[in-house]
Amino acid sequence: MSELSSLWAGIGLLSDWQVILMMILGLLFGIITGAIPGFSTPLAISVMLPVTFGMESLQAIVFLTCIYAGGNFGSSISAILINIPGSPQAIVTGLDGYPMTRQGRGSEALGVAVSASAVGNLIGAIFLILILPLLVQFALSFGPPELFLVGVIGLTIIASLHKSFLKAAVAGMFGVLIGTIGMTDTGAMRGTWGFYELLDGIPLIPALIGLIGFSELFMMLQRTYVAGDGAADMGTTQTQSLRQLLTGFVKTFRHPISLLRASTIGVLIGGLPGAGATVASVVSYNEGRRYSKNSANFGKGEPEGVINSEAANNASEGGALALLLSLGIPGGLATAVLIGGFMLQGLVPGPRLFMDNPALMYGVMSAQVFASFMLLFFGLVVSFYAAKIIQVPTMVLIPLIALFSIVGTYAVKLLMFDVYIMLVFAVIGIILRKFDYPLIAVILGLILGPILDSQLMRTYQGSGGLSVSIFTERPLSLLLIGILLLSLIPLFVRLAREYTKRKQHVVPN
Amino acid sequence: MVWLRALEKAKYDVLVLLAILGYATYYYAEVYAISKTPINLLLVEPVYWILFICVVALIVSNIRQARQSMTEQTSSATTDNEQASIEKALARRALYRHSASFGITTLLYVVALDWLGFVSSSFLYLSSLTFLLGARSIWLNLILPALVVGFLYVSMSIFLRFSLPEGWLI
Repeated sequence: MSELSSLWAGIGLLSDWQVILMMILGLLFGIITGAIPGFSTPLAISVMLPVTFGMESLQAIVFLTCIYAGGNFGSSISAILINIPGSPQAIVTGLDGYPMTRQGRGSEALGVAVSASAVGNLIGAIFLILILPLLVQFALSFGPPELFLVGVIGLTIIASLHKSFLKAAVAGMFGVLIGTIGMTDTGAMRGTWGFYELLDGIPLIPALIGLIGFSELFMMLQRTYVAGDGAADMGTTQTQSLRQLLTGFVKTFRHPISLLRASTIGVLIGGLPGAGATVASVVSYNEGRRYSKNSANFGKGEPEGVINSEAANNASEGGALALLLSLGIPGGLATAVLIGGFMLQGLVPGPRLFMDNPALMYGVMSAQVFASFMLLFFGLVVSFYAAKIIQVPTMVLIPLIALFSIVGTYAVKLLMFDVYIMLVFAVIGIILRKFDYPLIAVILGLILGPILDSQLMRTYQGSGGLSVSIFTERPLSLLLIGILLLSLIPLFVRLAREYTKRKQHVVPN
Repeated sequence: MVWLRALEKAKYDVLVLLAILGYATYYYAEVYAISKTPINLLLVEPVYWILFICVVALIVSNIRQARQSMTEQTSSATTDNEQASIEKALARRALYRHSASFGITTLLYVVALDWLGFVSSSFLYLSSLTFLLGARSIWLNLILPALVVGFLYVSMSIFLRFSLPEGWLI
């Protein structure tokens, strides 16, 4: 009963016009920036983090989660029109979307993408509302040893982040180490270099903006347009008729089984740490091809291919948010940046957040349902006009984004120190990008480092020392150790395959 | 000698790894020195040693890869088009120039924020950076920066009441 009343209270919070306005602005910003190749969803969220500082909690979180929802769809626009995905999750969308554009059906592909994305997002949001209370009840029985193990499971994501396990591990461990900077629970100061601003640890938001946003600008310098030379072709595709867009929009609903299957795959994979929207769309596309009557047309401009990819990558948001809100684990880079948004509002994702603010959380989740319907309308409108933004030259875009990043970082705490930290992390980000280290591994380490450190200290203090029995005597800990070992199996399989491949490569020589 | 040449080839990758390891070692030593009880080292110690092992393994792997690519390069003769390589060098030089312009202008802007004030330094930053990156029009170098800075000032200072940096000017 109390769950139902919290749900109604949460829905009631959405009647505020300012919240609705934030949803619309978030969706629009997400879709438009998502359509710009290189302007990934995490980057869009990180740029807007400081803007949310002065907002009320619900407005801020709904704004950021709507950017996330909009970005998931928006990245498909450039993938379909110029075969350059705005974010990695749209790579698979381009497999059929771009051939459709080349056949003169670009607007139809966009219409399919809009409706498939909205349905996927809706199914993900419903899943979030239904499953989250159960997940939270489960997570509340966790003590420090379990929370430590959850953090370690979160760290295993790092292994799947890069083709080179060693590079991912180096980046991740580096992130964990700098995540422990600051004053410990025992009052000791670690790695602060005498700066009192670092007593609370590395400020997460400046670090995120520097690592992801600012370092990306240096990469953009290599291109005249964000979309590269393909931007020149955008003018013709923008003139595609509205009629084609609506035809595609309706066509999606002629494939209800594909929609449901892709959305389910998206939700389940989105809920796995580290898998994320890209893996969801790839798996869904493969399954879609396996069961489709038109499987021979996949890759040649088949609308069902776009449906399978888009529904899955948008539904994955529901799974990823369930993981974030119930356990505080970011499943990917976008949810990692979202944590910054919660923290700015003084909220820490995890089971207590749901128990302490049920109406707020139901408000956030219900907003996702409404956002799905809004996506239907705004997706269509933006699809029609978004291409013009891709044609903005980088010589204009880079200074503007740089200014917004610097001012935004300063605005969080009105401290110039944060701007310096942002620049330091920008340099680290540029170097790591240049040498092909996964930035998300550093960020995951930065987020999980303090959690691991404090939970390990509490475990130590609670039991007067550390021993294996602390973990093996508790049933929940044992369960988590089992999950940890299971999540390590793919890593060992991958390492074994790489080793065998290297051996085979060496022998003929 | 082959290993030394391979090390020379992979020197930047190795330098990055050594920089990461150097900082991690400094941090570990600092925490080790201040820790009267092992509690402050509970996480730092194992993480440091995992990092140490991974860095060493990656250095070895980088050198081996460099050596392998050297062998492959010597076996296949490369005939680079001279014109293409000149164009590549010019493009690289332009990229370095743009990167340096962006980096230096941004540093100067951050310093100038406290010295000149938000409005004037932001306007100068936007107009000079658009100019240095190749934009040549009154609209892009003057009017757009003025509009953007005006928008930021009004929205942040007047509506949100943030105290923006102030200096000699505004």
